[in-house]
This record gives sequence, structure tokens and C-alpha cells, in this order.
Amino acid sequence: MNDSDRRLISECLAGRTDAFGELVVRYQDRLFNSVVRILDNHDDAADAVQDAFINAYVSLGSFKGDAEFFTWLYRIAFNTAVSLKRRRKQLVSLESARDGDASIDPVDHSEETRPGLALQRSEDEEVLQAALNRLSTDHRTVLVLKDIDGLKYEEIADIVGVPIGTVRSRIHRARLELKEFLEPEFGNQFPPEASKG
Amino acid sequence: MLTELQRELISLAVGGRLLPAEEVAFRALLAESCDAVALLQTLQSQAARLHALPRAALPAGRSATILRAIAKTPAPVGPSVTVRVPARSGRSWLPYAVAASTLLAVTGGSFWAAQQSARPGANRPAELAKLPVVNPQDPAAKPGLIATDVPEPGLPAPRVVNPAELARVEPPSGPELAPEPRVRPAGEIVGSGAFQQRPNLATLDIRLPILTTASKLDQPEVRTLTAAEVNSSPAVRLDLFSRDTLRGIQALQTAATTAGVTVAVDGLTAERMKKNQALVWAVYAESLTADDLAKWLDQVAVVNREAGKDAPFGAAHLTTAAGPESRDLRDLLGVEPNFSKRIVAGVPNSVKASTADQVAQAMSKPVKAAILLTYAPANARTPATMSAEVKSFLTGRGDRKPGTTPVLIVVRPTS
Repeated sequence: MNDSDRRLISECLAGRTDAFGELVVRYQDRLFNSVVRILDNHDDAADAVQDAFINAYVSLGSFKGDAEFFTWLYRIAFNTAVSLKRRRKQLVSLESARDGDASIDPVDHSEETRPGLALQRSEDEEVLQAALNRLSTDHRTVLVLKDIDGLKYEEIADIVGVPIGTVRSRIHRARLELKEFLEPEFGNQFPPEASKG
Repeated sequence: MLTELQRELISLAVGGRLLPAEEVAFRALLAESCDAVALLQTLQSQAARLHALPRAALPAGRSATILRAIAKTPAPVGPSVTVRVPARSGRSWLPYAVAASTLLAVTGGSFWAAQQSARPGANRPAELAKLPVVNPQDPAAKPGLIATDVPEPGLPAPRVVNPAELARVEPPSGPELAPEPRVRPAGEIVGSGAFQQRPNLATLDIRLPILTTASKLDQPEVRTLTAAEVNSSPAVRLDLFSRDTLRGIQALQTAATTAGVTVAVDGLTAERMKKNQALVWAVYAESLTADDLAKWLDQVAVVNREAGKDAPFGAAHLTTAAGPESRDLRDLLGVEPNFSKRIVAGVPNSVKASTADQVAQAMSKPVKAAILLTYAPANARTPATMSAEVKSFLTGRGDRKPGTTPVLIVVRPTS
């Protein structure tokens, strides 16, 4: 754990709760950027991030400090996000069953569905996010952490709570699945610039 | 068709985490499979796209909401100490009670024994009390066996000890000391020895091939990467992927001419080109410097761009040439090139007068020479001994000049 995080945590535990605010500001955007790619919903992602910070604050005394603070925070956030996603899925399923028409999507009043927002996104982003959404939550999570957030395999394993071998395997399968989903859109295009390796 | 293991290897390479053994396997796979190269490029492109997605920031105001919520939450406490409470059921205390009792009994017994041995006369054997009494006035009594102490009044008279019944042991004169430790020679003892200071783990720098498109070979960043690869490798191999390899090799020849490189074509290979056979072609040169190669590749990029949609080349893949390329060239040329080390420019030897003829001869020949051959399938290769062009190339090449790097360019079909 880096010294700055350690100092802030110690200060917070010593009673200076403002120190936790610095941690919030430090990690909020990074955390939100990853969670929103998993949930594909800005409001849900913001809720998940907020819950994660509050849970982290409450449980700060149990943080052992043997891992990075942000890894621990990510673990809380992703557990929250996955639970949220599962709850939403169950809610959709119940509503569909009650209405007797499974083909109708639930009404989403979130910011994400605001007219015009989709236009703001680039076409590439739309296609990529749509393809990400088709991946399973496990595969999407590891791919987001690896390719979007740039975390190491060890950190991902720590966050997701599985061995490194499983992380490698999931990332491999996720890449190939994503390739299948993207091929109709992009074909076999080459990277935008020359890359070494 | 790639196997699952091969696909996983490529996928891991995109993540940039390969073990040294995996790295070797990966390079071999790239060298022999167009599918592998294509998959690698697709996955790299995909990862680059994901990484380039715009960064989303937490909506404005949400941060303040979080901080307000935290302010209302009770402050966290430090690490809690967990106390284990033993189970009430069962007789879990029994082993401890037995152990404590045994310890108490042994300690008490030892203490009592020590007390007994410390009392005066405690060491006197009980058998002495049973010995017969001897009268000191009795002349029959032997002097040595009579107690010399004068008994105090009121005490019973000393008893005479029967020598036949008594065996006497001399007590030790002093405390028994432990023997001195034996001194052993150094070689007799087997041990770990002193621990050496271990050096820190070194960082493994893995060189990966350069992957780009042929149209970008003249771009500055690609030129920099290419020059670095050429200047640091004993030999390089460039794979140019083409939908039509015949058009590709013709474009490569055109680019070579523009760049001042003379490409000799093996006779049998020339016939195959005339018959429009779709084969894999190879061009080998060993008198080119990094600048010469860069000029050639610049022309390749220009030719490729000018062709627009009908560009002869797609991907380009530059890597260090090693054992497999050396073996291929031995098959193609009949001699095995020396890829073991680079020839760098050093202090020139003094020029003898007798070398003037050699210099003149060398100047009459094209300095930047290359030979074009059929590369694959292997059974379509021209036997080296049957090709006059190969012989001429080998005869005219002379010794390698400092600063030059052998280059094998393979024009192969895309999958």
C-alpha cells in the first residue's frame, strides 16, 4: 500500500474523518469509470460507487493494509455492482412475469436513457459497450479491469477473488468472445497505430 | 487452424504477460502461422479500442453526496481484537487438568526428593543401622574397624562393623565434570555454510516483433522502431502479407529499384512468376544498412498507398532472424549465413596496394544486392546448386561490411 493512502487511513482511524474525503476524491473517478463499463448505467454505477465508499468507510478498521487500498475498494465496489446487477435482473424478471409479457423491457428512468445521450457517444463506443454488455459479468469484469483500467493479473485476482490462472483464462475467453461480437462491426481491422508487440 | 492453446498464447501476449518459454513458443507461432498474426492484430486492435474509450467521471455533485453520507456515518474504529471463547459443552478442560496435575505431581515429587537428599545423614545407608556393635575396649576388635569418635554422654555406644559384611566405596573426590568437547576437523561436519548475499532479481526484457501495416512503414515512429530492431539484431526477417503474392513481390521489386537495391531473380523463380503462380517469395540481402532498408521500406509504403484499395500489402511483421531463418537460407542458398553476431564498424585495417584491384572489382558490382527466390512450398524451392543467379550472388557478396544486417523479406499470403 502506498504511504499516502496509509497515512490517510491512519488519520481517519484516529478520528480525522476528513482524511477519508481525500481518498474519495482520489479514487472516485477511476472507480466510477470501471463500474460504469460493467453496469452500463451511470446512475447505478454512481450508486454502487457511493455504497462502496460508505462500506469502505464503515469497515476501514478491518482493512489489514496488506493489499492496496484501491484493490480493497474495488473489491467492495464490484461486489456491490454485481449484487446490484443481480437485483435488477431479478426485478426485471418479476415485473415481466407479473405483466405476462417478457418481451417488454422495463422502463428505465435513469440518466442513461435520456434522449440525445446516445448521440453524444461515439459510434465506436456504442458498439464496444454493446459488445461488452453481451459478455457474462465475470468475463466483462476481468476485461474491464485489464483492458480499460490497466490492472495487473495479480490485482485483478485480488479484486475478483479467484486465482491468477482463472483470471488469465477468463480474460482469454472474454477477448475471443468480444472478437466474435465485434467482427461484424469492425472486421479484422489493424490497430490505429503501429505497435511493438 | 489455431488450437485452443495457441489462441490462449496469443491472447496472453496481448496482455503483455508471457513467461520466457511462452515467449519462444509465441514467436515460433507467429513465424509460421498467418492466422496467428491475424488473430494477434485483431485482439491488439480490440484491446486498444477498449483502452481508448473515453474516461467517465463521477457525476458532479455525487462526490459531495458521498462525503455528506460519510459525515453522517459513525466514525470507523481501529482494528478489533477477536477473543476466542471456549465452547461450554464437553469436557475440553480435561486434558489441561490432567496435564497440570501431572506437572504438579512431578514438580512436587522432585522437590520432596531434593529436600530429603539435603538432610544431614540422609545419604547414610539404612544397612549401617543393622551392623553389629563393637566394643572399643575389646582387644579382639581390629583397630581399623573401631569408630574413633568418642560418643557423647547419653548416646548409645558405637557399634562394631563386621568387615565381612561391609563393602566400602570411596565417594567421588569432587564434582563430576562434563567431558571436554571433542574437536572435529572442519571437513567432518556437514552444514549449510554461510548464506551468501543473493543478487536482486533482474528484469527480463522481452523483445517482441514489430507489427504494423505496410502503408505505415515510412512513418517516423515505425522507422524508429525498425531502425532500432535492425541495428540491434544480427539479422532480421520481414514478413509482408499480401492478398496477391505475385503482385506483392512485383511491388517489392519496384520499390527496390527505386531505393537503389538490385534484386537478382533466380531463373526458376522468374519462370514461376511469368506463369502467375501464387507462391510464397523470399528476397534475401546481406549488404544493406539500416538506412538502405529504411529507404526500401519507404518505397514499399509509397507503392502500397498509391495503389489505394488494391494495395499489394497488408500487414508487415518485423522480427529478429534466428535459427529457423538460418536453416531456410541454408536450404535456399546452399550455405548457412552467420547470424551469430553483428558486424560493427571498427578501426579499418591499412589498405595494401595489392587490394586496389579488389576495390575496383567491388565497385564494378552493385553494392546493394539481393536475390529473389521461391520460399514456399518447400518442394518448390530451387536447389541452390542449380541456380546460376544464386551462385553469382554468393560469389559477388564478398565479406560482410560493417554496419550491414542480413535481411530476409518474405512475401506471403494473408489468411
